[in-house]
Amino acid sequence: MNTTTETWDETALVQHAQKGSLDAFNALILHYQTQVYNLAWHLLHDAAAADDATQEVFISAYKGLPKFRGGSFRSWLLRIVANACYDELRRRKRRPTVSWEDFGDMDEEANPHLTNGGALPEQTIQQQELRALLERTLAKLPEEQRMAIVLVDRMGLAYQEVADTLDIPLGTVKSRLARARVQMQQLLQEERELLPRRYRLNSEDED
Amino acid sequence: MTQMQTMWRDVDISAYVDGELDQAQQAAFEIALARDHALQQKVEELREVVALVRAAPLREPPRNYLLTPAMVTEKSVTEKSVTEKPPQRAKRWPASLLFMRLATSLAAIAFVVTAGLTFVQRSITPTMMTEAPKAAEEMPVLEAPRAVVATVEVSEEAEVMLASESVEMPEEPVADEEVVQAEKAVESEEGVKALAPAPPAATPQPDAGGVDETAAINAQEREEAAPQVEVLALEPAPAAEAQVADEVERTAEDSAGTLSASGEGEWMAYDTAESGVEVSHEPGTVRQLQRPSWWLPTILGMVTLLLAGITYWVSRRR
Repeated sequence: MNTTTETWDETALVQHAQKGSLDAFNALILHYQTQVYNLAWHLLHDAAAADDATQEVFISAYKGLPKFRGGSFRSWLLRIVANACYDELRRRKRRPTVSWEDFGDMDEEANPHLTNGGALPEQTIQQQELRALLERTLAKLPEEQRMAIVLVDRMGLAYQEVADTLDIPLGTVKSRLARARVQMQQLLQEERELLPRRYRLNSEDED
Repeated sequence: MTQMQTMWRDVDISAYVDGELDQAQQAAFEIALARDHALQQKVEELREVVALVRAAPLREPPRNYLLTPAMVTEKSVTEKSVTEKPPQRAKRWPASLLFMRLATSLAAIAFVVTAGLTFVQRSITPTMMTEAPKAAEEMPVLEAPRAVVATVEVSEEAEVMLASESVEMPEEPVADEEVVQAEKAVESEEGVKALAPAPPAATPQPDAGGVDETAAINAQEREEAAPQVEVLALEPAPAAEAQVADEVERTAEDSAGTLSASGEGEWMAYDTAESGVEVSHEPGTVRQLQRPSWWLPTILGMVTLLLAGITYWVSRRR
């Protein structure tokens, strides 16, 4: 999912999809839907809105395939996600709404028994706790920094891909990412007691 | 070593951790890292943070988002909402909504004030004559002779003008006789009755006829002397007489009608523009005619309701 996208013939799938092959595009969807959904979630902080946005992004991407001029398909796709989410955020600003998630974590992953996976229950719970902590911490970052760290450290994009996705210079990506990481380090040290023991920062153990 | 510490910024350390430095920078950074223990610690801490951020799994999407031919042929609702631009309407509505709210408020205030005033005025309108049949009977009786006297005075003036032009007739006896007759009519109900049934008879005909005869004789004499004077002298006479006769007839009819109504025990309401008095249908009650009506509050209420409806519609559309 990260940097191994070139191992499968993405270019061929994109070309087939551009010629109208829905199956080829569905293969691309299956490959990228997790990243698209997570980026939408990090921007919207609402599972239902992220779900809707993800579906609409894939529909828009399919219809906009003729405009794709090559390069990183993932960057192009995530750019559509970012634009759609920003539009949604602007719309929310005009007409504020209250999400069900504001009343608590109500998505299906709040119940570990509903999730599928071969991991041990203890590991699953630890990972979910860690993810919840990270998501809370990331939410405290400024939006620009959050986008940079999510795209690089959560999605695994290269700097250039982030620059293409956000349409910003490479140096800006570097500086935003560096500031985001420094901020995350400070915030995680404040939340140290809430981190699972194996994930606690070594620098804190020495203190 | 201190120089090396200040040389490498967080951006460089972050890029080094990700392997995003170019070859020259990478080599220089590694040389500094081998010598600088603080830099080593910084790099280590940053790697831990990055590892921690990457360690947490991504959220699993709640479903697959595979497309079907139907989904890509129809325009979805959300896509419509994204492509369409409602802000123009949102900009246009607030001003009109504000205006509508203001208009509705003003109309409502006007309605309340008008309705309240109307209600109060109607409730406290003074009763001019209450439960006094006698007084109510006297009123039309008193009004009629005044009208008669007034008309008689008009006719007297007309006659006097003619008389003064034609012959030097003694004016006072004629006027005195007429006034005396009118006063007699006022004093006695019989006199009024005598006036009422026959309006022409109510006027002092014998005297008027005497005056007319004298005026005619004088006019005839003057006709012989100066024909051009006749026109001036005779023209007003028929008009004045006709006017006097009409007014006396009307007054007598009114008086007779009122008297007959009172005689039957029924009260008839009639309007008198000058006095502004009405006789109520209720026995013995006379009230002012110009009582405030409800038409203005009703209209204002309807306007208020209309404006309120439009305002609600506008706010819902917004």
